[in-house]
Amino acid sequence: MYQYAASLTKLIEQFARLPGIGPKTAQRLAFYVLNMPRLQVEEFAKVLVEVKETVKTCPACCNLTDVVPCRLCGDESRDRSLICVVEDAQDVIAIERTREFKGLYHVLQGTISPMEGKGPDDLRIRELLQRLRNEEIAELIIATNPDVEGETTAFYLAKLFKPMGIKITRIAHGLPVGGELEYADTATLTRAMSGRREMNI
Amino acid sequence: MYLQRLFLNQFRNYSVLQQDFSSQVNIITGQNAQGKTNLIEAIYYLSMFKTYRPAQDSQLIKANTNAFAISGAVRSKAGDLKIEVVYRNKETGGKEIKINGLKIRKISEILGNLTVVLFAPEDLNIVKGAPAERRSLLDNDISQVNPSYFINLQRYNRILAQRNHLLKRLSGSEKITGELLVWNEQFILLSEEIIAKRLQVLEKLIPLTRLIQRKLTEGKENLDIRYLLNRQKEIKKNDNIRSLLLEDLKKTQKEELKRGMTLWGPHRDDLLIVLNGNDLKYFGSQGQHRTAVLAIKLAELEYFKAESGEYPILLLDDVMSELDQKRREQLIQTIQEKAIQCFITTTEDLAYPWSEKTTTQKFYIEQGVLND
Repeated sequence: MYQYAASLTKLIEQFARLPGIGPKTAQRLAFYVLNMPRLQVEEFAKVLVEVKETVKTCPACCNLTDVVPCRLCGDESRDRSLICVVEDAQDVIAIERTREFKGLYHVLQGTISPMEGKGPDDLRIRELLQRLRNEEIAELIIATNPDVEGETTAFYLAKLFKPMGIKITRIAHGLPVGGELEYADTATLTRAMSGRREMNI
Repeated sequence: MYLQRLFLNQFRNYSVLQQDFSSQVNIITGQNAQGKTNLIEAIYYLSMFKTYRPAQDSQLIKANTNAFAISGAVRSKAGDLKIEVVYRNKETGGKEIKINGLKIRKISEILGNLTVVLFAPEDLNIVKGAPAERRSLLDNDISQVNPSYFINLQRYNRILAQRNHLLKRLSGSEKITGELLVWNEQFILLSEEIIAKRLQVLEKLIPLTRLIQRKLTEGKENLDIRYLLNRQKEIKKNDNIRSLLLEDLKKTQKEELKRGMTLWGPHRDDLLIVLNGNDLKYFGSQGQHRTAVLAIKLAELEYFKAESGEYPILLLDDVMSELDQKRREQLIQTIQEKAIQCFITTTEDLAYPWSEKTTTQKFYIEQGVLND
């Protein structure tokens, strides 16, 4: 059977390894790279290696960073008595975009998921425990996803830290702001209903 | 509620089919292996978005093609509805569902738009078969009228899979870790919700079934259904489900750790069908089994009517010949009285005593082609 040049095949295989990329997309990307100007390709290759070399984990909050401590942990203006626990670095970006939360973060780097072979010891829980012991923390906000694994992880953390006498809160689940009730999915509506609260006027 | 029109493309042995149906009785005759059951299956698929036969979606595609489509026009109290499903072989992209042209992401959003009650020869397994047959009867009924139950079942299955993985990993060590305690708690919370809902629905279904069974047997037979926790312990009204589950956990936790799997929970529960005080599975005759299943099916019709205000569509796949003349007449009478849309498949065109007021439409199937 006829095949592409060896190096082109290799590149297609590399792309196909990436998440969310099937064989057809991999092929399209490879051909795109082939047609890019040489300088741009070099820049692309350089950035790939650079990201691997410079990005590390912040020893305090376990977020991804290129400086130690990370920019958030190093920021003196942030409220150090609040820690928001999230699953991964993308979640930090999402919450930061709101500009509402002024505390610090803790990135677990995953959730408890036996199916993926991930238990509590594989998450950055020990680091969190250290912080809770060594620093004055008034409130721990658990902001893991509302799926089965996220809920279980939240539950695990709450059980673990409750005896330390720290206030532990869980972010609310409910309707998106600006959304319309009739377009909300059933699971969200059910949760929003059971999590309703009295109006203060 | 009724199905006005059905469209099939590359589904099972159908190349293309477009057919309007009577809002009352539709009788489909044909030799074996011409596509009668496939038609019933297609209508069921529009309701549940899965088949009831042991087959994967990919196996429903006509040979030598790589996608199938089913769509239907449904008229109900809520208005007219167009339901479309396209399934493409994995590489080109899975299942796509549209309601009135709008793409739907989650099946839980649309269950109940078209409700069906199916009665097929394999339904005799409800009495004789494994517990899973009886559980799925209940689960399907509840899911069709209660989407949050369907969501809970999905979450439950996920937690069960996670818990089984964990138990497998811990097996041999027999150590109860903090992580296991948390999964136990999550597992109990959902188990409790699922069982409570099942009991709540049974409480409605049982009196209906009992009444119909008495009517079908001239008051001779008393039918009862009981819920068995973990296949053995009968649960009674006002029992504290949570404490019963905690008991099961306590009893089995060691064994679970040894064997590396979950040994209790709603996925292992069963229904006990009791006729005149005896377990029907072991004591009933073939005829009594059939009558009991018919009573349950007719009770399902009433249950849907009570929950949604409308009778579902009744799919009778090759069961007319399984019933004796008297039961058949009673079934026909029910269909006529309640003006339920039904699809009846049969190999021989029997002259059923339909009243003149009922519009019946007859079709003949040959090699996946439907003729009036």
